[in-house]
Amino acid sequence: MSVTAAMSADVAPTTLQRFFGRSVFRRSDTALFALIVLITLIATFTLRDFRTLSNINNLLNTTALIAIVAIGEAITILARQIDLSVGAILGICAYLVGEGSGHISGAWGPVAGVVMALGLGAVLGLGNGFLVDALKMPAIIATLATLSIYTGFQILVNNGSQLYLTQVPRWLAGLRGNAWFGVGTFIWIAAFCLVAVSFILRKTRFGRDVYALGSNPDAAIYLGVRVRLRTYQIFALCGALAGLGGLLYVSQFGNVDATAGSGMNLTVIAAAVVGGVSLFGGSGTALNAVLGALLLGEIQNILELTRISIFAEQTLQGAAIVIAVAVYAVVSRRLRRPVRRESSIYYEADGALPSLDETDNTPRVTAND
Amino acid sequence: MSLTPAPQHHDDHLDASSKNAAPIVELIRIRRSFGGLQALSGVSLSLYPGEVVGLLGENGAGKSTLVKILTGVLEPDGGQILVDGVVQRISNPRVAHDLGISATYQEPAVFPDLDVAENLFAGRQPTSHRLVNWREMYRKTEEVFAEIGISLDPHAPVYQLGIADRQLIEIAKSMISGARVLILDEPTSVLSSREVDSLFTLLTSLRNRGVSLVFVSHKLDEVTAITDRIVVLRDGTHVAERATADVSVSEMVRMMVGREIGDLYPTLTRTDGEVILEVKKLSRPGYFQDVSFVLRRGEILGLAGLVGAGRTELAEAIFGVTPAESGTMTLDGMAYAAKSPRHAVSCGIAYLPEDRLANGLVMGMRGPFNLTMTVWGRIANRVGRFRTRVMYRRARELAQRVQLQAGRLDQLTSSLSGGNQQKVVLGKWLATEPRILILDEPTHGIDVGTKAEVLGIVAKLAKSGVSVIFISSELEEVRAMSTRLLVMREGRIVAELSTPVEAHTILEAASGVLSGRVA
Repeated sequence: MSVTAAMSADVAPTTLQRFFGRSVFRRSDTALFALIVLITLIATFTLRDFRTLSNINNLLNTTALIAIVAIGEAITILARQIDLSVGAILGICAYLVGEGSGHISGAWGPVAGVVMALGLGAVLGLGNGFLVDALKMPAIIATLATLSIYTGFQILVNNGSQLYLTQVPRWLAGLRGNAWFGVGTFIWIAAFCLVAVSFILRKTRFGRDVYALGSNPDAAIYLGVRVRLRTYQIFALCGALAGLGGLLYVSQFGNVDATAGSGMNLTVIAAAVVGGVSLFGGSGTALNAVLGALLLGEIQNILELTRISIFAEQTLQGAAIVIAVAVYAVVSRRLRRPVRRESSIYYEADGALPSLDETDNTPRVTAND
Repeated sequence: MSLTPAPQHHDDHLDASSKNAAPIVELIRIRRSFGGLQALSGVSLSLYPGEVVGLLGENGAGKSTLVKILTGVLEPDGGQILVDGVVQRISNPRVAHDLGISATYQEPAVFPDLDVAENLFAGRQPTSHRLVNWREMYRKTEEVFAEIGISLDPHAPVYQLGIADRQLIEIAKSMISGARVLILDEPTSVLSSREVDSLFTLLTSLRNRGVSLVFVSHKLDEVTAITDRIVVLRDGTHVAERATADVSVSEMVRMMVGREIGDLYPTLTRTDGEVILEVKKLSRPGYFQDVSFVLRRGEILGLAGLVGAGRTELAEAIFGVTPAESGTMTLDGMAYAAKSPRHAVSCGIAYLPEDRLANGLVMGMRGPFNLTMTVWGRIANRVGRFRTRVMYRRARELAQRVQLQAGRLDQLTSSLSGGNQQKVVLGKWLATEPRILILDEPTHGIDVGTKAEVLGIVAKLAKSGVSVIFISSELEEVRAMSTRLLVMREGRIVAELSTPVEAHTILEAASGVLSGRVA
């Protein structure tokens, strides 16, 4: 009997099925995007300060900075790891690169600065990878330890001093205010990171291994995914993006002290998770992290504008995270419920097997009789 | 897309052509032991293209060891494995995979977050210029699905799929990787009968393409329906090999069971005591349905059935772990609502779970603590001080009752053998002085000597008036240990048998050949 003959147009997956299957991934994205638009509209009409150009710029710049670090964090979370040390990495890079690039003048200055930020961040990230891979520490413990270690470094290199905007090269100080084609440099950089990481996650073996490791680590190992190599790569990439965030931090805030980036860890994890990256790994995209950053940045901005006390601001921001995560959990639980189907195998018109009815105890006919 | 081997287009009778073809895999006198236990002693097996072989045997007959050797999970102690006539050493699963041997298990290991197509190619995505070529991946997936007749959407994320569809993914995955031998280990145990039909259609199509299939199952009607040839293992030896068409189900059972029972089992005292527990129409949809029975004082009520028949879930409902959704129970004529295990214990019910490692013992504690765990509340005095000396005295008494040697008592529980661990679990529940004792696979994985001791203790308890519900998948054991026997199948009690009863009668009822009450 030829089974290929059973393949016919009417049983092939319909466009509707295909559309539904794909759109599931996007549904949480679109919902989040709609929420952001809604909040933006409400704020635009109710808060006079919100719709000023300087506020919009400020909002977008803050968001861009969070987004870049959150994209890196998202990569670790996707692989069922986590990096709690990004804030400290950002702080160290902000100080050292800010100071170091002052010694390099000329056209190569910006290039050297970016390379230094990425490289230093990656090296610190490799330290996390080493603890997780070689010492088999759970990432949450390993990076909690390095958070402390790196914060110590940060205090050490700062040596009680502060770095001011006047001490950094002009290209770096002006990064925040510059614009290409009317769009701020920060936004260009964040957009570039988004596109690059999305491409890596979607189109490279590395990217797919990240998802496989996050989705079912045991099965991934069994299939021959190079877990050790991937662990180092994942943490290095996350560290590099945090380093880049450090570069932007210098320009954004103007002065870098020993506490730079200290609040960043939870903000970026929250951004990734609120944006829809599953804390259990395997599910989410770089775009999720960016949308999450945009939502958090906007909430923060609005709370600042409404001049709520700093304490209430913290609490409300936390509450916003709780609500967003709770809503996501409910939605994703619904989406994840297995869909029971009649059958996914084509039946042949003639050669169907005798059914195995429970109450039937007549002798069975073998399939090839 | 080339699926190896090239499809063989024979129309009807595969037997003739496949018997002439050279075997893909030959196992020659394979031996394997675990500690002192000989799991396989000289088993030979040949697998031909375009054939479905049923691998039969009771629990512990060596089926899974043989499957593990074929797939590289275990290595044999002796014997040879020939693939395409060449001697091979299958030292790990990767080697088996490269030789074209793959297996699917009851619970498929998929990546739930990834889509169907990527699950088929996980770790081996097609690339062009070192970038993943998604279009190619979807194209190949659709091609394979069309070839073997699966209608899953390659873009659907796998978390949306039920277990049956996940199994199809595993099968399609092995086809993509060019598997020529596909082993299905109890593939139908989690499927509905309609899903089984679909699976069989797929298997038939694979066989027609020249794939060699090994079907491991306890469900003999399915074995009859899908296999061309059966191989029966018993106690690690190859006892029979026949064309499926030539054997009846009862012959299969006889070949599987076949042995004499020694003095392993104690003699039971039969009593006709008063009814202690009465269960009426107990249901938990999806697990068991309309279960009714009575339990008398001092009897051992055997509960036989295949793995997944709902016996453990029923026991858990009586013990209050996961209560039933409908139905009633009476204990000594009074309504008994199994609210929680704590409540059940206070009503005089004890339950030895199937997985003693996970549910029964704290491995890092010593014998006395584990033995008295159920009665710690009574060992502490009124202000809550734990009276250690009382505990040790209680522990010694209990150890004596379960015949646990004094030297073993003080060891860490994790360092005890499986048999001694089971004695500790048994002792721990005896400490509560239960009137009803539910034993779930109490001799699973313990050696023969200890098994006889444990069963002896059970018989003694019953004699002293404890009512026992005895769950076991080992036919010999359950028939020898029960004074009365219930057989469960797919969540229902399908037969009530009075012992002594022939083992094959139980198996026939459990696998659905025989139905109705034969009391």
